[in-house]
Amino acid sequence: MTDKEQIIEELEKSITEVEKQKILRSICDEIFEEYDKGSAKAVFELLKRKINTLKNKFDDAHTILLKKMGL
Amino acid sequence: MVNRWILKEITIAGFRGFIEPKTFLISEPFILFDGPQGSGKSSTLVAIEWGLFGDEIAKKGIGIDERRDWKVRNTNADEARVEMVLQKGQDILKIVRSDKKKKDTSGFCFELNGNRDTDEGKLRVMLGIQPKDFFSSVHLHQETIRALLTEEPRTRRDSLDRLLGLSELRNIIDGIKLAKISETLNDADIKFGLIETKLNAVITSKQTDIQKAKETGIQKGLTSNDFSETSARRMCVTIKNALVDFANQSGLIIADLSLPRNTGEQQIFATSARESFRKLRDEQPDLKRQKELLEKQSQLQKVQSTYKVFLDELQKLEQKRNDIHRTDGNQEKLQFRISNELSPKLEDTKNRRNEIDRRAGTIEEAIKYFEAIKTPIDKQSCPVCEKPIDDARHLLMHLKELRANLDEDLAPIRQEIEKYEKEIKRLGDLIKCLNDLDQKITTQSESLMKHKSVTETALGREIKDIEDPVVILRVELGKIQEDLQKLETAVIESNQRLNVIEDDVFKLEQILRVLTLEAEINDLMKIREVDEYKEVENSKLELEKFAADVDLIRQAIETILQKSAKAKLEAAKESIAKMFTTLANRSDFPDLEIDPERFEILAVKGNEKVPALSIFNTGDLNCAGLSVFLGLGVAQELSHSLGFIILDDPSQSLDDTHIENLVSILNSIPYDKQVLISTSESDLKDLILSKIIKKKKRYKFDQWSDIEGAKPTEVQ
Repeated sequence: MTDKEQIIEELEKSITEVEKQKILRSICDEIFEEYDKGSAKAVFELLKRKINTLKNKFDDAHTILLKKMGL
Repeated sequence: MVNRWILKEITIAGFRGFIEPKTFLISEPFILFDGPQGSGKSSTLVAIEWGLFGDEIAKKGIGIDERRDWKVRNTNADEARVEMVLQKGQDILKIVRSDKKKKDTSGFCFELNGNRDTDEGKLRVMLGIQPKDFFSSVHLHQETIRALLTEEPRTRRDSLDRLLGLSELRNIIDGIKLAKISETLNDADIKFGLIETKLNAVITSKQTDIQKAKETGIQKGLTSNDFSETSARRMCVTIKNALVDFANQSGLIIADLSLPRNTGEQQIFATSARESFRKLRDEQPDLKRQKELLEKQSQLQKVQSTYKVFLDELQKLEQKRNDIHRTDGNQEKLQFRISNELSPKLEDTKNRRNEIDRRAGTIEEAIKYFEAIKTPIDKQSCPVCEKPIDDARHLLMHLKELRANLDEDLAPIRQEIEKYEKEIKRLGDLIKCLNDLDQKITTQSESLMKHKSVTETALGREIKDIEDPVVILRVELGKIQEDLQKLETAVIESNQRLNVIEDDVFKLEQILRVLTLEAEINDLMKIREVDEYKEVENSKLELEKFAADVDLIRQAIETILQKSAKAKLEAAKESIAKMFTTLANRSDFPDLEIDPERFEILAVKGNEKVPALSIFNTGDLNCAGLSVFLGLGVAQELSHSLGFIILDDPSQSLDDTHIENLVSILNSIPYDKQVLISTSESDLKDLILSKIIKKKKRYKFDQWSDIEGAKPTEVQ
């Protein structure tokens, strides 16, 4: 069993919800894929890119709300 | 027994210490390379690495400092070439790597059971090993031993990870940590928390504004009950009626003011009402007339003032001319006096003076004559007839008396002349003055005439010659003043009415401000229900979910990493301890263990465990490093598929006893693990040859030569 398979198995022990398992597996696949391309830095860049996208979405929504509040 | 790749054969040419091709047939389980330092033993071992991984073994990331600026090809060779044959069961793997000088290109290929391929990645997958792991778990390098025993936990951890084949998982964890997802999440949390703080601040600010608006309204006469929509509606009706009444009475037109139905319309009404109010204020007829009259008054007062200035100046000039006429007469009379009266008298007087002057001149000459002669004055002859003069002194005395008399006669005549001359000059000056006054009076009269037409324009009527403009202006200004007094009362009354309307508009504005602010506060209190707020909540939730997912994955990786580390260490535990016990042979701490959580090598005595770094000397630490490497190297649970280990000069820092013990350990390595060892120490060589019971192959290296390069010889 590869490391990735062991990790997914470990995750599925604690997460029983199928949809959630799918999401985690997908992230896992992306992480290992990026790692194979270029080591830890590639993993960092992948996660940073993803988290920044979500953060930007939050920031935009936050700005719109503050505008509505008259700020 | 695990089936792994064993080295069978290697041919090296033009690689580092090698120039000519040399082939090593090494299918035996124990291979010894011995010879002096610098004879090419290490080049042989490194050729195996290069054959497997190429130039990557010299990269910085590998962590072997001595590989920096590494030259692969021997300077005397046109090509560096390594060919290796490995065997695993029935499988034969041939690897060929080259680096050519001319084309400056490198070549690589491998054949698995005759099937050729050039994909390095495939080879690594097949061997199950990356360059970094090779250095730690196949080829024991002194730097790896040092890293295992350093005080820096991270370096120890990395080294141990490499030994255990866990670098990939550790690197992924590092990549996840490096992304600092929790920091981003924390930032979002802070921002989200600030929404509440800002919300409260805005509400407080609006409440303060409401209080201020109420206080202002109350100062203007509102009561606290007036700040309602009903009251605002009532106020709108009052204002509208007042504005319309005023407009009708004044004959003015204002914009249609529709009565509002809600607060929003009331706001618009208030703005329109204020505009209408301004229009009425500016355009009310009485005020307009008052302004016109005031402008007219100001204009006429200015004309009057200027006219008076011109007139006063003219009158002054005329007065001055009249005064001269009265005292001395006009220019003709003055000229007549000068010509017919004063000038003849002056001439006559001057003639008399001249007569006396002539006589006085003769006497003076005579006096000078007598006073100038040097001979005795009593014997002089007359200068005219030359008859003797009896007493010239007496004559001189009479001459002087005569001159004194003439001087007395001349004094009043001179005074008279001076008097006439002064009078003539005075009268001349007066003539000039009168001429000047005439000129000025003419100019001033012309200016006055010009201003008269200005006055006519201002008055809007003609001023006849018989009329006095000053009086006309005074009368006109009087009329304006009367009209202004009448208008003032009307304007005051109008303004009072307008002021009442303005106050009402202002009060309405205060009521509306309070109502608007209250509505805004209500909206803010319900902000959590609006879509925009929900969007922020949802986006934060997405962020949190992602962070939680990544953290779950990180935890799972760490769990697997720990489990794997523990399992591998557990599997190699006995082997490591046994090797250390044999190698170091310490009585105080005979055993060795690795703490998989703290990545620390521990010296063990019964139940007592202390960090090896705190008690071991350099030789013991090297023994510890060797034990860990060999213990793990021979363990069956290792992840890669290479069935050989390489020990390059392993007896450094070891004393004779340790070296003997090392040979014992080498003897204990299982048969399925091929050992390649190099040494420059004859003691170790002799011990290996005499005590290693495995089937051996020995290659002896003679001193390296510039022409031939490495000179290995197989020793039977």
